[in-house]
Amino acid sequence: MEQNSEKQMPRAAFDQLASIPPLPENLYGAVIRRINRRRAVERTVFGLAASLLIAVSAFTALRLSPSRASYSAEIAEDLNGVNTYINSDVYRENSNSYGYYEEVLYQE
Amino acid sequence: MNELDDLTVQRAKKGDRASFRALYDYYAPFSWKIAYRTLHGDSGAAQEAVQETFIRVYNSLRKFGGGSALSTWIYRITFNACMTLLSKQSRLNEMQELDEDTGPTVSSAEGIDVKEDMQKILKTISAEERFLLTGREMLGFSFEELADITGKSAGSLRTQLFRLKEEIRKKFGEN
Repeated sequence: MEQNSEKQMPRAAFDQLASIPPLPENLYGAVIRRINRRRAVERTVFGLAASLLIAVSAFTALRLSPSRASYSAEIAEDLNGVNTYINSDVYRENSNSYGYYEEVLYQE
Repeated sequence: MNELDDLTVQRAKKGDRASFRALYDYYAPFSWKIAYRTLHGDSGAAQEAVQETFIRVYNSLRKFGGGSALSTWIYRITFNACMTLLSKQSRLNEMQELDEDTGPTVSSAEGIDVKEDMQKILKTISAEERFLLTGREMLGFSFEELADITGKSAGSLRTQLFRLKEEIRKKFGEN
């Protein structure tokens, strides 16, 4: 030990330095309680974070579902064109014409 | 320093509570002595420091790679916990001193009567010096271990302790 090469402290000083009460017995219980408490807090925070993540994912998935998805401008224009055609006189005239042709064809 | 057997340490690392208890029983008494003396006999603060030490040990034991001895690692955590507590306390005291005049405080060992006891000397020296004195004189740490714990060089700690012991010797009337 290096201590041998050093001057020793006065005995009285050493005795007072060494007069320390024993380690409190209940301290381990307190350590474990605090570890458990921290773990419980961590688990709660983790659980909340996971719930939040699931909720956000579900919400995002619902928002992007096909029923609510918006069409691109090109498709919307085509659909409007089809709509206008169906409700127009041209369509009615055409369908009457086709009906006439079908009648004539079947008769033949 | 003697160390706890490797098997128990490995089990504690894996979260085995009984092994952690064994580790606590082995190292906590030393940790307690360091904390009690470094925090100049404040039992409540020392208990807080020991608790904080072993909570950190429990949480970080898996990451302990064995770069230093386990005891050195644990006592370094204790020393740092003490320093954190002391800095919190000194901030609190500064705030209190603004409100009340507590009279002159002794800031160095020079102001102490020769017959005053060790407790009073311990109150006038810094926390690091108290740790140095306790670690070296009571717990038998080597200067290398103390350097590892405090982050200072072994040579400067040796000089610091030499001066400190000279001071104590003078106070106790032994030259």
